[in-house]
Amino acid sequence: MNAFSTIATVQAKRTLRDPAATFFMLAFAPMFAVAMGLIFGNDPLQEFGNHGYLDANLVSFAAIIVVISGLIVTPVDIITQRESGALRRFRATPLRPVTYIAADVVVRFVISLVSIALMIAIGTLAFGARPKATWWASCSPPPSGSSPSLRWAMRSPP
Amino acid sequence: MTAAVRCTDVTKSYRDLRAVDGISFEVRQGEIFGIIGPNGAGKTTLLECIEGLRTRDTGVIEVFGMDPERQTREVRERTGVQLQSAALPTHITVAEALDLFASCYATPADWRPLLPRLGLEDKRDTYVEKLSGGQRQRVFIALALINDPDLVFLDELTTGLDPQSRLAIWDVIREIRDGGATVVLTTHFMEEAERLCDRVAIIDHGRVVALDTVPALIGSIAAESRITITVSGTPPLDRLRAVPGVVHAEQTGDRVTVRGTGTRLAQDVMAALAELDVPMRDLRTEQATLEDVFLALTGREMREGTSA
Repeated sequence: MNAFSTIATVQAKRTLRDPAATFFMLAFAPMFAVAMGLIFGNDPLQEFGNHGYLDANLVSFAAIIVVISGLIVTPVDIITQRESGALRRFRATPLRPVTYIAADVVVRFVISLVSIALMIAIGTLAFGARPKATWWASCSPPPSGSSPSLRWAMRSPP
Repeated sequence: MTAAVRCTDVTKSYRDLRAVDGISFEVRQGEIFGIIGPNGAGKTTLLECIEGLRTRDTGVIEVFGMDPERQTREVRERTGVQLQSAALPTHITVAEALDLFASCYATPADWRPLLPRLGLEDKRDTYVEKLSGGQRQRVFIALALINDPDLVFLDELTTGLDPQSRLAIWDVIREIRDGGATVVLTTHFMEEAERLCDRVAIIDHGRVVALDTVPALIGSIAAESRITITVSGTPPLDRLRAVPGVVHAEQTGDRVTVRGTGTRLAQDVMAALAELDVPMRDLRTEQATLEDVFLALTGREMREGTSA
């Protein structure tokens, strides 16, 4: 395997082995959809233009994943790695920082994507929601949160 | 033979502190070269400048003829690095860590034979954070060797380890040298430098105050050695005092103590006692150490150095 795929594989494994990261990046959104569905249901309401609560809001829950992943889970992981010297260990190798950043972003993107897909599946299958958004709009934001902080962590001196 | 490392008038400052102050030396290929000095002497800063992890202010550094700041990737393909303060990403096993770092090199070595060599064969599926300090240091050595480097940098490798782990790691370092690689290490353990290094540079306040082999450095300060022997009877101390190099001889009970200088002192004293046919046992010698060399050169104890 080349550096990109090895880093992506290891990064995926270590993310999924971290209970906090797994919960917030993967499990939180589907659980949130279940909770909102149980609380509010999806019966048509006038304030949502005769659409259900989940019809109107399900896709916007993806923003929560973006915020949790991009502003909490990813920065905490990066800061922890940087403080411990783990990122610096990579600097002592010929690895290009962009390779590490790309692999990390792809892994977080895919995990977030799976989480969002599960959330939408639960909303549509369990509560009959008909989300009012295009699929690609739902999936585009997740990587944006991790990239800038990773670039900072890999480049600045310790 | 091309020098593995060549430094010429290297300087590095942090604001008003000149951490490296005009250092010049060469590291020969195939040797274990020690950079020793108290905490805060500038050892790690110098090493990181050579590794290309820090930018020097002035001077020239060549690693196999290449500038580590400009030909960074080429230098890193040929060197292995163990950093003084580094960790690995959490939640990964030893095997995953080795796989991960092996993928960073264009032509990585097979890391599997490294595991038994470093006593880690039964730890390959253990999370790195679950390892003991000595085992973790051996993982870092494995990472430094993962590209089969021609030059290995080891920064305070054995700090914080128990004596048994330290001895085991010394054997590994000798094996690296015997395998043909050059080793540059920093340490503030004088015994480590004495037991491991072919040559040593003593650094204080960012300057090289001495550079030579350990015996030559110790010999250069003409320090006294001390020999104590348990004897039966009363040997004629005058005969011992007449031995070349002996400056003092005394007997307390059945213990004879001889102090003197010279590299042949012990042999000459033993020869004199053998000639006198004095039954003896429990021979002990105490010789000057690199600590004494540092004291003689700087007027300070090594441990008086300020923290980095």
